Amino acid sequence: MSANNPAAAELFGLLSAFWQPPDELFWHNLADGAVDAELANFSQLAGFSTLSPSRTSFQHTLPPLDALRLFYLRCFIGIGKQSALPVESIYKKWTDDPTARLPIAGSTGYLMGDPALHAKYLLDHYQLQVPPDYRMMPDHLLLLLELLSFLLENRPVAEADLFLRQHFDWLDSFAEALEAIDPENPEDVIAKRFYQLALCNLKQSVQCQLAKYDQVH
Amino acid sequence: MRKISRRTFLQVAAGSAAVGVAAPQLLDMKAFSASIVDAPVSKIPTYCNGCSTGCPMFAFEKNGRLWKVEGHPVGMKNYGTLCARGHGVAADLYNKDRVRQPMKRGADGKFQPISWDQAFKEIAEKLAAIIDKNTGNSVAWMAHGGKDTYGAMFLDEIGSPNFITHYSTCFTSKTNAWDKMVANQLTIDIRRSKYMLFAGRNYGGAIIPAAMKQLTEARAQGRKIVVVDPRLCELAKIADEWIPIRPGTDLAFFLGIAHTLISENLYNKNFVQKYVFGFEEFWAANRDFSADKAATICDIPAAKIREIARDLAKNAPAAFLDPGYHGLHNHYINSTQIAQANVIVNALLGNFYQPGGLLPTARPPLGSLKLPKRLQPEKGPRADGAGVANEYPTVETSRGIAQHMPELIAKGKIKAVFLYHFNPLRTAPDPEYQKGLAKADLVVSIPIDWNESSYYAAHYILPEHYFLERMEAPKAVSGNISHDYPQIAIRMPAVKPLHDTKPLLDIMQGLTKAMKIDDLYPFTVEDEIQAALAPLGIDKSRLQTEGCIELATPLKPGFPEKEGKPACGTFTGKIEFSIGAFKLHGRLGVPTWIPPLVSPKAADEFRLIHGKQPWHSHSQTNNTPYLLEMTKSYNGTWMWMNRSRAEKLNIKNGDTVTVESKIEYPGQSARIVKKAMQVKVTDMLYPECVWVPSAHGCFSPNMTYGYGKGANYNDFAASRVESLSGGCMVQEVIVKVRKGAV
Ligand code: SF4
Repeated sequence: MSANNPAAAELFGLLSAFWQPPDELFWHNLADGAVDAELANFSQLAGFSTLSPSRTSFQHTLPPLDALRLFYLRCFIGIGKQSALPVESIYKKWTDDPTARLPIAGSTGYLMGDPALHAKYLLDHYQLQVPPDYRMMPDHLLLLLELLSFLLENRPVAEADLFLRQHFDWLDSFAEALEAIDPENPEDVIAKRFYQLALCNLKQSVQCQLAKYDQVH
Repeated sequence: MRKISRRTFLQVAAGSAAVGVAAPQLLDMKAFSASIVDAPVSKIPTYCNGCSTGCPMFAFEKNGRLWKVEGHPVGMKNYGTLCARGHGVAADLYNKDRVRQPMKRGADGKFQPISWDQAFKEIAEKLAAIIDKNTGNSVAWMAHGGKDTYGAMFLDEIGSPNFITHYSTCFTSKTNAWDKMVANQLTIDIRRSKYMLFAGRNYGGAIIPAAMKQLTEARAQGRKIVVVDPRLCELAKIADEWIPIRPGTDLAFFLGIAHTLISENLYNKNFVQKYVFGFEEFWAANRDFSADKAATICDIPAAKIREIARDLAKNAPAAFLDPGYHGLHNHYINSTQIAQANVIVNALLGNFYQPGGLLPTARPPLGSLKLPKRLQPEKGPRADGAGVANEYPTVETSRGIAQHMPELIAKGKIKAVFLYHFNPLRTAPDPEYQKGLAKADLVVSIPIDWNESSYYAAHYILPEHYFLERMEAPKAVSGNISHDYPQIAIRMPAVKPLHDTKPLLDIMQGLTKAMKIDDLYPFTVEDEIQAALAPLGIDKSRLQTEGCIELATPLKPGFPEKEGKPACGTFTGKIEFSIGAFKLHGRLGVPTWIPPLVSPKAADEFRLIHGKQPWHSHSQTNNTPYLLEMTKSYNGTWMWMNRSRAEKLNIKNGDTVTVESKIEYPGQSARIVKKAMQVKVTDMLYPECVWVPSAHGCFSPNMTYGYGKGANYNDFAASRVESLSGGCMVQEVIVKVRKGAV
């Protein structure tokens, strides 16, 4: 059984773009409503009928590109007061290895945890090449979403299903970390809202896809 | 179907979609995690970076990650163990607050990532313009720790004399006095000593694991340990005796001991006759400084001072007064004289180069690369004034003065500053003053984490590999405590670099290449290892496997002599009680009593002193979550206050108080600093002072774990320079304390 939901693959692929460092092209696509339209289209094609249309109006919540960039740097790269790295390992126990003797073994908050090792294993297995900057952060949200998109488009349902269930169960913790960021200026407020919206959209899309898999089961 | 184009980060190979089904159990993360538990483990030698002790250790790698760390059994500083800090800093490899890629501060003051090549290009251009206009003398390299050769080579190439270490914020009066009086920094021989006196030195706080093991054994064997300290420090807890002293008066205590030894004829006359220069000068200047006089100053009864002196003499030469470290050797106006008096007390015991007394460190004869000579510009006088006539002529030029850099920048003497693992904004006095570093035309920081200096002052941040990610040339394992055989250790990379960082050699090669300086570093670390090992006859691969090796040639005790004459390396070949360089510059050559600069007087006034906690290395570890958990459990950010004083101020254990000091600079109006701190009320502290741990007060917002926790002694002190050795005198500070938050 393969090619389980190509429209969802497109949708998650598009959602991954939100977690990339903001660039001009994507910002223009957001500003002229093209992203909203495409999200709506893919959601419908993917059968995600429960997605609220208001959730996808990024065009009207978009901050200026510079503000988006600054917020991204501060919050998701970690340059500046407070951060909420979109990296799975940070929000999960570092390792399940009962023999690990590092003091952080059972703690959250660290990079390169078991989720990263697993993501790396999957990326290697599917022969997907990661750009050098992300090689040691294979569980970065944008890579997880691209990998999900790949699985949805190319691989048996079981593989995408399991991946979705196991690697996207930390989004609530990430949302909490994002919520805790104090905006430094009015544009920050808009940028924060923009990313919260993107995350909300992502969470709903994940739920919709999971619901689909539940139906199959 | 897709209408808009977007970037994708994953490159899909032609056959990606068609790869076989992964082993089902490995698609499942839990099963995957279970499956990697039995992965092979590699054991990689390195040495710890948690403090300057540098304990040799093994890092164990599994699945490409650090799995555990263990002390190296051969290491003479740790005997197979690591302290809590060692474990904490190892785990910090995965701390999210590391600087993960090069950074540049934009016009808006905010940092932006920048590529290495672009950073090198921009720094090279800016530096070239600065050197063109102001010569290389306007560039400074400030480093924490020992002399790193790459930075020094760079300064030689551009013609800058300004290699500056952190020592002037740590223990520079000790190195200065000992180099001038003894031409060596001797170490204590705990294992063979019968009587050990420690003043201002806490091996249980500033831990050296092997020292603590030896001291615990000594105690169990009935050998005597006496600790003189205003606070019942961790070492005092295992000592035979804790003797509280009025802070700032250790010099009086040492002079009182020396007086007793001489006036009661207890000193080793043979040794003094043969190996000491300047005894009469010392005695003439201190003949009146009896134990009774010392007692009135230091608040230790004269009888106790005499008892200690007699016990030391009884057990000499297998007895010592520990040469000390950070505690006393920087923080007072009389710190240089404290170090001088320390040498004198030990020399009177005749314990130099003697088992059970003081022994030199056993050093391996490491080789070095033979590099072609280069035509290099002449250097001017040092900008910090170290070794410069009419400035700080007696300060060691090999270490310099770090704390007044903002003033040098304001005066236009320094235009560009490199900070290599050095964070003066937190570790030097008065952070507001230290922020003046940012006014240099160019500040380049080479750190691991987002320390305060990088965050507030750097224009560029060039992050270095973590110590577990890098290879370094072999180093001697030595210092502080004696060991009979020389040892070497090597640092090998335990894991692949996690982030877009570089080792220092690569950074310097990149930068100099961009500056069009040809082949300043025409070697690799492997070449350095080969060169270092050549005289030892040790194979590189053996060291890279074993990690720490002990050499077979033992250290020989006995005062160094040449053709039957003393030859310890000083001008006279003897231990010089009187420092000629001091006299040359109009100062006394021998130590005499000098009162502290300030003294608390009013009911709410205290001298502010500080010290290390066993689980922190000053502020270096103040963003290490594992260690901060210990801080939390032990109320480790609290300020200690004596119970009798607390009661008078109606302060109870756990209360929040306002700690206030006045910071003054000549020609400027005074600034009042106020910080809120919680108080530990205790009987275990001398009443005139309050004590704060040295670790806390992190104010870099990017250090998210430590940010805003506690206050730091440097918050309350003005930046000053002690004229003989360059120390920063941060315990010459009076704070006012009142109940209630700021
Ligand atoms: S004493 Fe502790 S922190 Fe210092 S080097 Fe040794 S293990 Fe590391």
